[in-house]
Amino acid sequence: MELLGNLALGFGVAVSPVNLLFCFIGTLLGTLIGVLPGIGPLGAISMLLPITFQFPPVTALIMLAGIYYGAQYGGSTTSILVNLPGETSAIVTCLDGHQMAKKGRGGAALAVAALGSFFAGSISTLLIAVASPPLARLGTLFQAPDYFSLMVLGLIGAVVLAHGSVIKALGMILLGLLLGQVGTDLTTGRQRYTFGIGELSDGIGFVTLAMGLFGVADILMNLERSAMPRLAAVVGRLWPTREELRRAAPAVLRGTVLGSLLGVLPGGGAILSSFTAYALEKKVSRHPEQFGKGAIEGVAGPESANNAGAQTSFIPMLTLGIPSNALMALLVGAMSIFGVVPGPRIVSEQPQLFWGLVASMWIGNLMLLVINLPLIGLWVQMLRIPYRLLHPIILLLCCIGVYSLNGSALEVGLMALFGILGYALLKFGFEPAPMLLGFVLGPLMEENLRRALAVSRGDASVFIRRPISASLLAVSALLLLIVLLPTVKKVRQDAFQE
Amino acid sequence: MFNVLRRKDVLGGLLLVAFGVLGLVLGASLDMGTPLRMGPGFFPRVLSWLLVVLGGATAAQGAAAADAETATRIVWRPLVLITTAVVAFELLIDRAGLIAATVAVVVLGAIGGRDARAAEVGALAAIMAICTAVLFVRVLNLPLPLWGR
Repeated sequence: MELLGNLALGFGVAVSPVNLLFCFIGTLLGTLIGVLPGIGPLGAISMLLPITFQFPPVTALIMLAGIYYGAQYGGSTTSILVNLPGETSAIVTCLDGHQMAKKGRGGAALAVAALGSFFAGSISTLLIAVASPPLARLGTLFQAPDYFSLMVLGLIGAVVLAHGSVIKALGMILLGLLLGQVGTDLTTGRQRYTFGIGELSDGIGFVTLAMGLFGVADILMNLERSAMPRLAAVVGRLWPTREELRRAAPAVLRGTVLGSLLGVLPGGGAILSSFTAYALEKKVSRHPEQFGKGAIEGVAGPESANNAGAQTSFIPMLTLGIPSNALMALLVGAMSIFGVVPGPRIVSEQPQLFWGLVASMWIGNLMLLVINLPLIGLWVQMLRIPYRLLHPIILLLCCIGVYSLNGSALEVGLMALFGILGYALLKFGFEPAPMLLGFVLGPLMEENLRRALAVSRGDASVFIRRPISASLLAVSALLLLIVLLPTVKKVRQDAFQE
Repeated sequence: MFNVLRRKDVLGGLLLVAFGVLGLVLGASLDMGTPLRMGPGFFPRVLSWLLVVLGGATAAQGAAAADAETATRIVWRPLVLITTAVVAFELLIDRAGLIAATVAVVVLGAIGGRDARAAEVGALAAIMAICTAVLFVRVLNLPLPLWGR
């Protein structure tokens, strides 16, 4: 019954006119950037962060969260109608969704994607409400060594579950950790890598880094590619047939369960969930040969999974303070600017913030259903905007965003540098997202390592003597070992190839 | 030899090594401290060494592989013009203000793409200048100088 009271409190916060408005703006913007290829939720959220700093933290977080899960809805529209993923997690939706659109069943694919996402979003919101308080209580048992080990596990998990090369992802995390060292050392007050530049003594701004890596670098890569294909498909009748519903329903259920579980894992989230759900649907189907030719399960499963995963990835961030993917790292950074420290104490000490955010997610999902289905025509129109008009606007918003943060023109230049760095990394086949994770966790890791060693009088064995820490480290070692074994390597590659 | 240097893994690995070496050289004066009292130099140095090792391994792996992807050519036009656009914003925002900076970013950014059209770019720059001035300065009250300070 505690749950009901908490949810009531949350809805009380979430339905205030201001919060409803910003929940709506967030989900609307999320849908928009999900629909538009060439800009993802990472870039969009970092661009909008500076604007949200004048709002109360709960309002800002409601809007930022809305952008994230809203993008999961919007991404499917582009995938289905133009065979172009508006968003990374919607890549697999292209496979069958676009085939359906070609057969004139685009409307049904869109409807199933939206309804599945709504169902998944509702279940995973409930899961957050149920699972977070006990997890947060567990979190209060954690001491410095345990936190250090948890972060190690978080980073290793991000490497193992990310798509692409493990070694390259590790390299990105290390680079992020090193960039996180720039600034004043908290304990000794020593300046590290600041070159005597005043702006750097507080460290590199994480908005500056994120916008360089995900805003500017993406523009550079997009402009290199040949012109983006524009191909409007027929939407057709919106309602799925009874047969289509019968096939989609179990897939939605499976996707929801799978996505909810995978979202909680370190390194998990929307992208991992959708890829795995597609593989699962193909495996359990009695007609695997239909996949890739317009099987509705191939839309329903992944679309439900990515929305569920997007939402449950909030659990480790809100309860333990550990971001499981780059997007959560961005939100951790945002919260610390608001003066909110993510971690076990949020649930008990700031119930309004926590439950308000949770309740807003369900409201947001409901809004998304309305935004997406009846307004589908509007989003199709949006797809007609050529990229040559979009990229100057994105670039401008990046510049204004960084500048308005601290009123420092120098940081705008710094963003350009990170843009070039991100461009180089993408060109060499490195995915820069794990870098942001390392960057946010770096200072926390150092702090906890230092504290752990000080308490244990310099004895490093404290990390294996404490049971929580020891088991976390053991899991990390196991994960790393497994993924480097040749056979697993192959299975993993196959899984991401799907 | 020259071909090996164009491989993605070799280039990327060397980039990581470069960051590691930079971390070691620039952080040389930072104190390592003792385990009991970790100094400011401990964490950066460990990270830098790990980067050197990992970057070296990536590069070596890439060089040894029989078939490796080579990095695609740099397309200079967007790289130079987009970077210039951002730098223009950096230089103009304090001196000339938001409106001038906006026009500079939009125009330079647009001609960084390959199919910019003069009339369209002009219209976009004008619209964005008005929108940013109204939205960011008037409505949202962000601390942006409209005409330079």
